[in-house]
Amino acid sequence: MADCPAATGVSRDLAGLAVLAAGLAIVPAVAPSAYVMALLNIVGLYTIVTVGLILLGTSGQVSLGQAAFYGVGAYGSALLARDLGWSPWLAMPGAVVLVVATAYAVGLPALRLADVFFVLATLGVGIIVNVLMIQLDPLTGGASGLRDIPPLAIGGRPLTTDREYFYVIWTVALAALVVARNLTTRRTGRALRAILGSEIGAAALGIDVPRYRMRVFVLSAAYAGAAGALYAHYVRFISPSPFALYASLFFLIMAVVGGLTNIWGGLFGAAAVTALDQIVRAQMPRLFPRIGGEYQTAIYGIVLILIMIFFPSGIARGGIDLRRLLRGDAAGPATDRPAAADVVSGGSRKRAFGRRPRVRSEEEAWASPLTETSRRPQVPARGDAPASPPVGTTTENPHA
Amino acid sequence: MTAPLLAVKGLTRRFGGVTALEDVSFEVAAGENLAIIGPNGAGKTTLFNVVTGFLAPSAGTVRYRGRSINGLPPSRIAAAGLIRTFQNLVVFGEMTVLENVMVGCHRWTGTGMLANALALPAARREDGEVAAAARAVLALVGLAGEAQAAARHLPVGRQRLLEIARALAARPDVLLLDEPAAGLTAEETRHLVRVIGRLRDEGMTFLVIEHNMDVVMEAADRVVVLDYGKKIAEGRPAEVQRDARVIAAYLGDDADAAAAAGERPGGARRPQVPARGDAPAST
Repeated sequence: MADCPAATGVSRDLAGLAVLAAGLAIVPAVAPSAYVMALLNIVGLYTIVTVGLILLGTSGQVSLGQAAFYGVGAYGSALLARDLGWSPWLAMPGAVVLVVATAYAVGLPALRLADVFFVLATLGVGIIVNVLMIQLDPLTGGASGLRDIPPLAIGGRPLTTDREYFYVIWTVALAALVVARNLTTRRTGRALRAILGSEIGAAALGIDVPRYRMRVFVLSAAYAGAAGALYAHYVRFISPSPFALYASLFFLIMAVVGGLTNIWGGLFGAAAVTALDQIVRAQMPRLFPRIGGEYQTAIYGIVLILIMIFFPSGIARGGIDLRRLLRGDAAGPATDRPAAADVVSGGSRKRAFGRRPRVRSEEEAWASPLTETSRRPQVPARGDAPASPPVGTTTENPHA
Repeated sequence: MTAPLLAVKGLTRRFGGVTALEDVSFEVAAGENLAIIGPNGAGKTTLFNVVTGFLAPSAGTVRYRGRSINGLPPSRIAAAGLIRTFQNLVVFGEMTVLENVMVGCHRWTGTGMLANALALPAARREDGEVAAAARAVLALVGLAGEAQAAARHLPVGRQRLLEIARALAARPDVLLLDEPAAGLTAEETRHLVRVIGRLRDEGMTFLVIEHNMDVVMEAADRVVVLDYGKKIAEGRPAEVQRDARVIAAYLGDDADAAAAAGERPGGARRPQVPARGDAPAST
């Protein structure tokens, strides 16, 4: 019955993080090539972005603008360090502050929109930011980008190898996972998950839904911004193309493949999608030498469809769902009661992608007077009020 | 009499041309258990929705502790101590029963995002308190055995108890229950009535929409009767039961209803209201 008891879930998370940290510590010693190290660094950066998206998903929100925040973090930190001469260690937090401000400014109008329109708004922001990167030539270097971004340095010695950045990037990624785990298991996380379950139910318990939605949106942007800042100092050259719409889509795919409501999905999603990308790129020309790159994208799409069919809650939860499927209790009982007439209803089983429109109380309440007008014929039948025990069964006086 | 804890005055709510609530006024004293009854569609849930801020009133005021709460968002009203349950269950299906109730503790806990993110000692301590409080409430309503079940796997009656438990976990000053006994077994209902009575004796104030007249007769101190959005009666349960307008509202007073009643004489329909004069009047 209990998939995930709170207590053991927490300790399992901690054990997982410890195993991950230990595994990461020995990776540089056993990694076969610089290529693998570089790939793992990219996975680390994508993990940070994706964990941010999953935090957002915890409250049922979806963003198609993460690449914009990733890009603002990268450009911000690069410019602060290169043009203003800030230490990269200061420039990166500075860039995150810039991203937080940007996200707040975006969130103020965008979070007022109902679900799908919010996603479209973030998509629009992503496009605008990317256009600005190209068009603000004097600041951003236009399409040719920014070169000679200062590297990170420790004790005056610049970090140059993939191996050195591996430790920096994965330290941040682990911190991102720990923070996300702490948040999701405590008061804030319960409030966010309650919002996913039912915004009305959450509000009825005193949870300030708009405030939580804004905070988690800004936090997810900060995650993307931190990853972008790290990326800028790691690669030391940035141009607008890695921050285009495709990247936002890529991040969202990682989050969905990993599992939108489980922080581990950030790690698994980033790793799985990056690996898939590499495999398709490397193997497709070998298997089908005559076909072009667009078929790679098609293969990619097919694999994603298969993952969504077989692991609808993401691969991080895939194992759990498979087990449940085998046990045969995948379907829960309906929570809806039929024929509830006068209600402000709140769907309690909605998922991140199946959410109801947010502007609801007025509209749904409209349903009630319509049904109410036809009530008179029901009246004579009202004797069958729900669960009336026969007379005499409740003789106990509660105050006695 | 001291100032009422909750005072509703001239409350009106229209949906287009339909008036769901019309000039409804009543007061609730601290520690009182007020039942709201009335036929289907009388406007009871609309009343709850307006009082708790989910719907704006078209006219009238709701005052809580002497201050108007009109126009406040539902979360602020809940934070002030007015906690409600929903007639059509609203549980957080993907969370466990225990977690659902822990969400209920949101109102009286206060650690922020930073303390939570860093798992500061205050956040850890709070989590311990919240879990203990949630378990205590689950034990109170009789759901302790299902603490780790996913909420959506519970049968409907248990989900209703869960919603009540979650509302209790918020430590409300006024608890608004919308048909708390619907879907409950007779035994669960009896237990719930006992729990409500006990909490009321400890000073909690209740506003309860209920169809089950046995529950109303036993638990309520006073009853407000709504029909077609208007208050048609108010008083002690035994008085309200004998009120001609209440009887008419329940049994139907127009030609259709009379005809329908004629087709199905006496015994077919349980004449709830008039027959219960012998119920113990709550003190």
